[in-house]
Amino acid sequence: MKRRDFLNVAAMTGVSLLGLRLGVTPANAQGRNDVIRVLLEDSPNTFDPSGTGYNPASCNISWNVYDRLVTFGVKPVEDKEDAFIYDYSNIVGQAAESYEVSEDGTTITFKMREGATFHDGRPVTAHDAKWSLDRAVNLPTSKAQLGTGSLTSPDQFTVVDDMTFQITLPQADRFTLPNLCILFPAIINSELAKEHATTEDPWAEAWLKTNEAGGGPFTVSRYVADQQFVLDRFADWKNGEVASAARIMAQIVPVASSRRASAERAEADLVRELSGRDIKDMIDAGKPRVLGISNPARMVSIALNSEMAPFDNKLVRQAVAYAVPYQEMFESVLYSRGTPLFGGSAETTEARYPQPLPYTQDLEKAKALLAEAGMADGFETTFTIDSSLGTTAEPIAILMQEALGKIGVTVKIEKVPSAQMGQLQTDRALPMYIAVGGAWLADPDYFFRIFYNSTRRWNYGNYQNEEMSKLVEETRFETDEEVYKTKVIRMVELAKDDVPLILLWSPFQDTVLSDAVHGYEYMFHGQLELRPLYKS
Amino acid sequence: MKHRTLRLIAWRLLMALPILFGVIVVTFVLIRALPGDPAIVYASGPNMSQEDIDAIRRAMGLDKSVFEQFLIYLNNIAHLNFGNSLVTGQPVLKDFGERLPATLELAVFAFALSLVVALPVGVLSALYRDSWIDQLVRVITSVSAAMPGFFFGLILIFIFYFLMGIAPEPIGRLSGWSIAPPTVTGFMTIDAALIGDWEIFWEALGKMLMPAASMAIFAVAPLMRMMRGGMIDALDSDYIKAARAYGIPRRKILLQYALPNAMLPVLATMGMVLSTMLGANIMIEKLFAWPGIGSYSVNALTGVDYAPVQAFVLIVAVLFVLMTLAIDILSAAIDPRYKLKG
Repeated sequence: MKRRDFLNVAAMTGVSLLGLRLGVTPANAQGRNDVIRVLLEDSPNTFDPSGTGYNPASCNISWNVYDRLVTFGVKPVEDKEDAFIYDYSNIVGQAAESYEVSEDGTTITFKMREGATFHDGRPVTAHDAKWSLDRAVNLPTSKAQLGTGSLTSPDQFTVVDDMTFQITLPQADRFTLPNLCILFPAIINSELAKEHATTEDPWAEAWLKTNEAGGGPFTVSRYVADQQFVLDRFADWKNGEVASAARIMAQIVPVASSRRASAERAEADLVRELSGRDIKDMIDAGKPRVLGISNPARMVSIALNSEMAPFDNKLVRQAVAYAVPYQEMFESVLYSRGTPLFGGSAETTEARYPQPLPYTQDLEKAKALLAEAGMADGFETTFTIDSSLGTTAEPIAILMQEALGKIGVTVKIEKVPSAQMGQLQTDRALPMYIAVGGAWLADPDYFFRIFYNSTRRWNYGNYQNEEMSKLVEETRFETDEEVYKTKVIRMVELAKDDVPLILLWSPFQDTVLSDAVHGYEYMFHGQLELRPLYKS
Repeated sequence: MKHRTLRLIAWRLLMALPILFGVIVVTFVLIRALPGDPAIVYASGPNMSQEDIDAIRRAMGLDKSVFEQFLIYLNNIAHLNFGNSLVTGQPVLKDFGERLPATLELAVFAFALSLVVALPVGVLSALYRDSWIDQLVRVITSVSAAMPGFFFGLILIFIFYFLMGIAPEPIGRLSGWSIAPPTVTGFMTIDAALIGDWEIFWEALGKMLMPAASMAIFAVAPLMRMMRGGMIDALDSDYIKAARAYGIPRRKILLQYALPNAMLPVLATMGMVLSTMLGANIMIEKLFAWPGIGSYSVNALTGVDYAPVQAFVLIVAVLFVLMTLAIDILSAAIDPRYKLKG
């Protein structure tokens, strides 16, 4: 290379670097009131509220783009400023202006909202409600869930007139209205969807997977799978309060450290899915605003297979429950970002669940229980962890291994990918593993029905108990509050005594917000409720 | 000669077909041998029963025999239909069409970066063998070979973005506020240059610097060592001694006689490095939220999404075949002793 050439190249490089420096200009998120920038870990995989194989992240789109007939009201979060949470006991109209429940509770009549339209301008009518609910009870993803609210067949849905829609039920069911508030029974623009339906695909599943036909507060203006989506406000939205006109720009950033760096440099308005460690560091440093909201219906637990030796013996399960180093786990694994579900009182007075189980670490008691079960010398078992639970699962497993070693139980830790985990759970092949769950509907009997009784994989502890089955059955349509309460308390007692699930904690839903964002609202599904967010 | 080369290329491509078929069979069987039932993964609701799961399995065609599924798959590939991704809900080919350019652009840039660093330094350390330069280079190569790219990326982010704030946010190909140029080649820098949007061009280039450096770090060491070794061999050979004896200027000896001969082993290494960069930069893509095929196929793998994984392996195999062929042709062009063989 000639000397002059070298100088030229050097000069060019200098210019380039200067250019790069200029190209950086970190567009500070807080300075832009018209855009709310959101960083998420996972990408939505469908727009369809009843989409087969929808992932939790897809609620971020489907929940905000569609309305439902009714929705949960909101209330302020106790002891937190400028934060709201859904109110399970207050169900208000959304696409329906109002609703009326008949005296015997078997007919619910909805008055559709005058003047409300879908994003393409077509009016929202009772025909759309009928088509949407027909669809929801026909598709496998939504069908089973809506069945828990006695919504099973299209025959139950009647169009009285263009603006009046009626649901008839075989008997009054307190789960019907809450089930209408969840993700699945979204009101779809039926005329638009039907244009894309075919004989093989009568419910337009293929089209609705990547196209929206909603009337909700947002429209999808850009969607690139695994990268980003942009939601714009629907200007003609009439079904609730509108807090601002800011558009939502969400980006998918799979690695937590990159999300955290952006949050700390205030380049993002809302950052989700950071680990307890990250959150604690950030709170200690005192920089960004962190909102940790507890969802009482969510739990992290250690499941013991109650039908597999040696955990088919209640004493062994109790021994394990007494061996767990709860406090140490809570502090060193979760960094105390949650509500403990251990160390509760032995007596049950409250009819709610999950509630703290009456266990704390007591190795002497654990050893005594093992001896009573005839296993004074301990045994060998496997602790399985889902590799997708990464940051918390592994330390929990190691602490368990160490603690159980002290009472003579040898634990082998096995790590499996989540796809395999589902299969192993379904096959009931695991003796002991970390089970994470949350119920969308808050009633305790609903929680027991899913996590302590069914024959499905969600009965993590593989718990088969006649009394529990009977109670779950009896409370299904119970209307007498006192009777209900007594029965729930009995179920809680069973859960405490039989411990198929050793409850650990209910984790916080931690969200990092910029100083400019207000109106944060926590919804039951744990994904983003974007409508009330605004910047100032 | 020209004619013969062309015939050899055709022959080589023909020979690649059985390899690709083997790849198709092996991936097809392997992914089904993996534990995990897609139908269970997609039956995600806590109230779904066994019948619902079976319905989903039927809809996915997984109730058919493996052999039947394979025939359907082969037929689809023959029609260039790679199926739909369950994760993104789009045709796999469309997904790859969007992501492959991002991976290619980053890989090419990282490759160029590592060449720019490795080759001159390799030559220098060969010229000044065992001097302090050589020793320093040895230390640097050892460290860089031992440094995982992912970790290096984290350090870069921490220093240049988090502490100093001079690097752009390590997320994606453009900042969220910028509008991407219309897609022509899929290479962000080229597309920006085509419409003359230099602001976007520099931004895209800036965004590539840190991920490319993280990828280059592992490539620098082997390239540098090969360059140094090749150069030493060349400099020690008789024809260089003869050239020196003739009094040919030093620069001419280096550039015209030694370098081309030293390049041969480097070229082979370059092929390997570039292939690895295309196929194995998954962690880097994740770290920098880079929308490439690596992170895409890992998402597909964890979601037991068969179609994209099969397509990914096939596409990477095709790239490897083409790359080896290109390297062979180049080698033949440089070294007459190197014959293209069928």
